[in-house]
Amino acid sequence: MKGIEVRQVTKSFDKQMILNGIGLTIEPNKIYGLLGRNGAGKSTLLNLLVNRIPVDLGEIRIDNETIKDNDEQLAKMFLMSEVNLYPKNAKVKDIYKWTEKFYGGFDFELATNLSKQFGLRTNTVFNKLSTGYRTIMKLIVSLSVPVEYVFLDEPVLGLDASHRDLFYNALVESYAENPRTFVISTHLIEEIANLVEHVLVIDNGRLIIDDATEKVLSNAYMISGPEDKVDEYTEGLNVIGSDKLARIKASYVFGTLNNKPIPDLINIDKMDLQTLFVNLTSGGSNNE
Amino acid sequence: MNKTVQVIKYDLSYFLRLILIVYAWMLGLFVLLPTTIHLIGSGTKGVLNTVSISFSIASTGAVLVNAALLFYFGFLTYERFSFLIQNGISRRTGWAAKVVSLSIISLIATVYDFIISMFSLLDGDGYNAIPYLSLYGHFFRSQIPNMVMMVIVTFIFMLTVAIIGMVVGSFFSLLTRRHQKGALITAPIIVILLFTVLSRAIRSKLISFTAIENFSKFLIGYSKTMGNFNPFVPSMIMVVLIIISLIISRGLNTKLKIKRGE
Repeated sequence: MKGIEVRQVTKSFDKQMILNGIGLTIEPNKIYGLLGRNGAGKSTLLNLLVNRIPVDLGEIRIDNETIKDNDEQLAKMFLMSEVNLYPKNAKVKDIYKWTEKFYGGFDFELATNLSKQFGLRTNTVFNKLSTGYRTIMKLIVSLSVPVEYVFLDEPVLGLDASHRDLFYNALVESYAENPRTFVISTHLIEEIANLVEHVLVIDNGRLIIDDATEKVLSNAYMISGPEDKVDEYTEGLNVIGSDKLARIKASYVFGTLNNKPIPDLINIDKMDLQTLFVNLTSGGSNNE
Repeated sequence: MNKTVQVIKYDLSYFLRLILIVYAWMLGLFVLLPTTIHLIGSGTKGVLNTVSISFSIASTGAVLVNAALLFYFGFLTYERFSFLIQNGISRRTGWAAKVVSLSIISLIATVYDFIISMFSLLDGDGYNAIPYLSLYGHFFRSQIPNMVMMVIVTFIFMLTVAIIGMVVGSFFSLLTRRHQKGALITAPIIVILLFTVLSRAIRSKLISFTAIENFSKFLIGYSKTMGNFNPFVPSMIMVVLIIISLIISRGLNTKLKIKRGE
């Protein structure tokens, strides 16, 4: 099977379980959104995928082969994360050079163009870059390496709105020219909602959603209207949260509406990805 | 294989850059500084003699510096591991490449040591000017096998220092920053305590000094019957030490991981 298989992976830190029997498949040439609240286990999962940290239990395989001590498989993946794993005294251009040598290729043309667009000086030493420019350098590397799977952990951390826009455009162009898998983990869900083809949501170390974005959103509804009518309509449905202002209530339903007839005074709208995520991971909170 | 070669190239470029920096400092401290002081104090009179003595001190001192650098190169672990794993290089490849890189640097250090030794011999100082030959120089009857053995033993010694550095570095990189600081403080205290206990044990005759002396003689290859030092004994001991250290360092290497919040 082509792709990355995560089989019942468990990971704990200091006796605290971060991932609890996660199982999923990452397919080629798709853009994934990896969502979860702070401490949900997103970064841990990404670190496990590229073997930066070992799994406690379970197994990760890429194209049916284990990733442990396997250069061929590890070379198919690149993880851009907020931790800085580059030599502090290395110049940006030297980091590009060594990335090319280790990965066996590097799109220098793209890297040079993006460096110019972002205003990144490649003669600068990595340690002297600001937080934002470190992120930019890592993003440029992640788009220029010849890998099949690119994992982006908080890719726009420290970037201003203009640079974020520049990055999203570069990502779309790069994906269009050379389709490959991107797994984007971010808290700025609205910004990536239009890019994401498949959604993975982790909550308390468990994978609670693993489906196509379209399918997920087709089952997410916002039912609004007078409180008593909304309560009556949503009885027996999977209500994941609600908001209330005066006597008007909005209930968020994830799942089928059971073909219930829609009463007058009730509005049914589609939920966006961010609203769905917030309600799914806040334990069905009621902001009433 | 290609990845291993690339990592070796990366290691060597890093090591050689560091060696150049250290050597530049050495030249500055041991040659340029004394020469400048001489020029200021006494003018140009006898300056060539000062330069010659300074170079002699620097080149002999460089042998010790090489050993210290090799230990340091072996010790460097976490930052290197981070960069390699960021670039899809496995722990095993990183470890194997480091062993090869350290072997190459050890060989270069050995060649340097040999050249310095030859200069000392040409100066007419004899075997006593060279620590190895003063001990083991009479094991073979002719000079050539003694020289060959000196190169081999020096290489094994340099590699031992580097590989032990690898073990210590791998162990350190598994500790958190807090535990690393703790280890740096407690290690010298433990060593001092051990020596204190050992000296007291010898003084109170719990351990015989002769036993320690005999063991030390055995380690450096002293043979009472032959009346000279046998270089094969320390060589074999160091080879065993290298093998054990390689096994331990590989074991520790498999445990390397990116630390949280560091």
